Amino acid sequence: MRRLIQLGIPRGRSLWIGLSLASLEALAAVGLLALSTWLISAAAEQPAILYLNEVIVGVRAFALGRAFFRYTQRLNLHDAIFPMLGALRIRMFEATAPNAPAGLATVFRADTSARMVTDVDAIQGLSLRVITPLLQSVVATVATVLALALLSPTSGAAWVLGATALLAAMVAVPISAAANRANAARVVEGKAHLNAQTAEFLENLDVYRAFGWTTQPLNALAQTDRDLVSSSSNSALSVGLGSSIFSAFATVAVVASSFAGANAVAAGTLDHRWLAVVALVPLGLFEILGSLQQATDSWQRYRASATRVLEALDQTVDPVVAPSTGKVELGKISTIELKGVSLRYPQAENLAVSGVNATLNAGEHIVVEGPSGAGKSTIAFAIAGFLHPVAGLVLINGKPLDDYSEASLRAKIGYLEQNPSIFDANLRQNLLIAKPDATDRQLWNVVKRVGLAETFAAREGMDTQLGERGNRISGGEAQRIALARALLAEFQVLIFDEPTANVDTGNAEELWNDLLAITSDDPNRISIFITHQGEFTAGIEKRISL
Amino acid sequence: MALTVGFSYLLSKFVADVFGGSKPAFGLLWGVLAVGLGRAGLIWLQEWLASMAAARAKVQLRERLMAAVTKLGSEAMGGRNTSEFTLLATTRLDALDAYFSRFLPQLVYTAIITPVLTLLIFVNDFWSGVAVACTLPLIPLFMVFIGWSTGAAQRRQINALNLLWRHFGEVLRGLTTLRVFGRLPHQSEALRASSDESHKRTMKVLRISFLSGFALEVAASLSVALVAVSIGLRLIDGTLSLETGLFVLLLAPEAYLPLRLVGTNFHASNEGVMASKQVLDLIESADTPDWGVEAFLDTDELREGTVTHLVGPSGSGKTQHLNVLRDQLGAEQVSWLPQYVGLIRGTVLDNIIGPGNAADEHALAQAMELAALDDVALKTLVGDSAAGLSGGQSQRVGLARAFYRCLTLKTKWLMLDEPLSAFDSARAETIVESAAWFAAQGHGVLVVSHQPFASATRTLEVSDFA
Repeated sequence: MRRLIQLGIPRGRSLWIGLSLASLEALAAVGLLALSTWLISAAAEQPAILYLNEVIVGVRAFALGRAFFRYTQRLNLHDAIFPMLGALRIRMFEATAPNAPAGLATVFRADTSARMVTDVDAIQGLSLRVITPLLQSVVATVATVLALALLSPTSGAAWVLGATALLAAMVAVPISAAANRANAARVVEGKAHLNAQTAEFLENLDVYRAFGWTTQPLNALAQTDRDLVSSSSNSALSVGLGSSIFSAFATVAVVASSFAGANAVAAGTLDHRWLAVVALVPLGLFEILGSLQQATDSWQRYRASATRVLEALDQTVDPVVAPSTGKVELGKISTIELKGVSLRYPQAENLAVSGVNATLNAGEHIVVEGPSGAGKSTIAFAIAGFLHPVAGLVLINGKPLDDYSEASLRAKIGYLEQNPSIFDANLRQNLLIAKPDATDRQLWNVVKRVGLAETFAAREGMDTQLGERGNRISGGEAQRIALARALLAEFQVLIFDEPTANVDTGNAEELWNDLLAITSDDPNRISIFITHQGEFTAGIEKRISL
Repeated sequence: MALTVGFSYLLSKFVADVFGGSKPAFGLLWGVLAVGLGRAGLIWLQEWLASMAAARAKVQLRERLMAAVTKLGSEAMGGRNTSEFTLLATTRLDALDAYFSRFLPQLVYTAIITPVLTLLIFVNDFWSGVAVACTLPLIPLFMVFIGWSTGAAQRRQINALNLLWRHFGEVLRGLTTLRVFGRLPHQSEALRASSDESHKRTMKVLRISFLSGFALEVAASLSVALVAVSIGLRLIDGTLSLETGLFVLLLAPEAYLPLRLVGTNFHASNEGVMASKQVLDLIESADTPDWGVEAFLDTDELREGTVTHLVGPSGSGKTQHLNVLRDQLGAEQVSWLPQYVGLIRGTVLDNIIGPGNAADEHALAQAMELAALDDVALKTLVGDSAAGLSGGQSQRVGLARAFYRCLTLKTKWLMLDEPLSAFDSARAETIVESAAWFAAQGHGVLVVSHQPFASATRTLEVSDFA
């Protein structure tokens, strides 16, 4: 529970400034009503206009003060909250990221992104819609009760009002909280589901359409939406119930304090000019107290969202995919050895490969071959340090791979995915991932080396948009862009995972020849080719067969 | 509304009586109590009705949007990224709640109550009535000015938000690449920058809308103060009774409040209105009949009962050609293996027979055998982007999916786009034989491949069709 609350409380001065301003706003609201009613009553006695002018100025000051405090309060609170949300999203991203690539099967992307965006957004509810109204209610109640007690100590109006306010909060809040508990959580989860389901459906829209499978996901979506509506409307009912209870208590408070005030006037203990104030101030107070009701609902929604955020933050990365924590800087690689390496994926029961032995030396081309599903990519993950052996060792220059720092491993060993990730951006941005400080000249050089210079010169050059998932370029072009990235990054080790899997067969041979030529440029390079297409790699002698 | 007026009237009468020195009429307090409780009940009803109306409208709109997208396919997203579109269909459309449950009821409420209250004030005290009638129009005038300046800022904010979502979506999809290039630590920084940018824009919009709230509040406060001062001064003159003065003073803020709330709610709902405009445009475009057919291919040469080897132009042009071809053959008559297999989240079984469908056990076993899918259990879980399966395995799941559809629905055509690109030779042979088997059953098999395809009886150039 403590963690749950801490998660939503921003740090920094803006929070305290915002909350102080919120208290002032509450005071100004009560003061405004009290002073303006008093003005009317007092004016009825027809005192000197000069005397009234001060009060008139006071009424204006309270009215403007309330609006001003409200404005500055909100700005300060948002100022405090926004950086906190950004930091939270980054923490969630950092908790998920180490799963890539070997542990990605355990990550539900649409759900992760719903948590990162929607649930994190809901985190601001704690300070804006729970703490602030709570604070304002307390401040306003204490101020009003104290003021009434000073004004008319014997009438009991102060105690009547205080007791009613307390009673209202004690009755309305628990009742609507109990009625709303399940629904508030359902609303939050429903929204996240709707989000994730929509994203998943859109992502695979073309497949669902081609196979006539759209009915089931669309029905599921509609069902989620309808469930969401019914929990929202139940939730609104519970909140409305609370509001009504508050409103009823407000009436009771007005009647009771009017009664007490009238008696006090009759008994001569209260100046009759103050009766209007005693009768009407409770109305103003309850207007503020009414927000407690929304605060209950907001707290319950906050709790549901915060729980989902904490779940995402607390997810543990399986040790077999956790990035290396070694400290040694990896320099030039002369050998990579696999000694009896057995590998298992996170949450998998069976070994993906077992007992693999191999030695790779600087300057060599190596082919990893075997039937589909034999574990070729798995071996690549082990060599790159993405998947740690459950038995056996991967040694680089004679030292266990885990001894080297993650950053230095990344600088030396490149892995080219079977389906290269092309970002929905232009060519330049896609290449700069590999080397952020590269000049356009360097980029064109490497684009020329991978044989794409003409293609992109004919389009919009470096500004050519590649489309979502690279849908504006062909599979072969995507592979070549991936290769261009690898060349830019100047990896010493290059691992190609089925580089022609998504390439039209006619272009595959050409791509292979280019790959073999380009990777022979550096006498120290170790190039590893994972493939089932033996014919293209026939010239390579060293093979790991699975 | 009548209850609000009654509440104010009874309470001011009670206070004025006591003030005037008469015996407190406690009977009036019972009236106040009854009216106040009635008002409490109505508040409940009003909140509930408003939320129901909002929800119903939103659900309908969302259902129609998804139906339109389903009808049009991913191109209907109009160049929007999946993440942006998800944002539009969910969070941004949610903002419509405020429009239906707050803005619209408030507008109707205001249209009725403000004139009535103003009239009441006129009847009770002419000069207060004049003051209210003169100051009221200032509020909508303010709102128009503010609305102009918010519009542009709000659009910029939505753009920044779209960018943030896209960024998250892209980063999560490209995690592997980012890790390979050691960009994960930098990515945190980039995300922080995107996040900050979006927040900066949001703050700008908030500042304007808070400021407008402030301005409206100032306008209303000053107007009420004006009324209060005029009442106060005339009380001194003795030209106004305390009872009337109190009653009018209680009513005056009630006349301004609804108008102010219209302004506040307008800001809250504007985003939803903007989103719904985009959604409605999209739904409309789905109703336009001849959408998207850009090319027409000559399909006379294609025959059922044979394996035809199609040789396509390389690159992205081919996929578009094949999509047109598929549309022309009638998508419901085609069982298709796309070049990018596109597996959905769920089990391997879900991916072959479709989620939530009952399996035809016989066809399922046959499809798996024909697709050489002998090394993956049906209950194996498939993650995003086919995570959990190797490239070859996911291609064979895609083949089993196409075969199963062809077997159960007896589609005229079986269209395989580069079916052999991820296979070892033994399994490739099975696929080649399977294609021949389907042709022998009377289906028209179209294989798109640059590699020779042994069971093909003839070869056609796809570009010849165009």
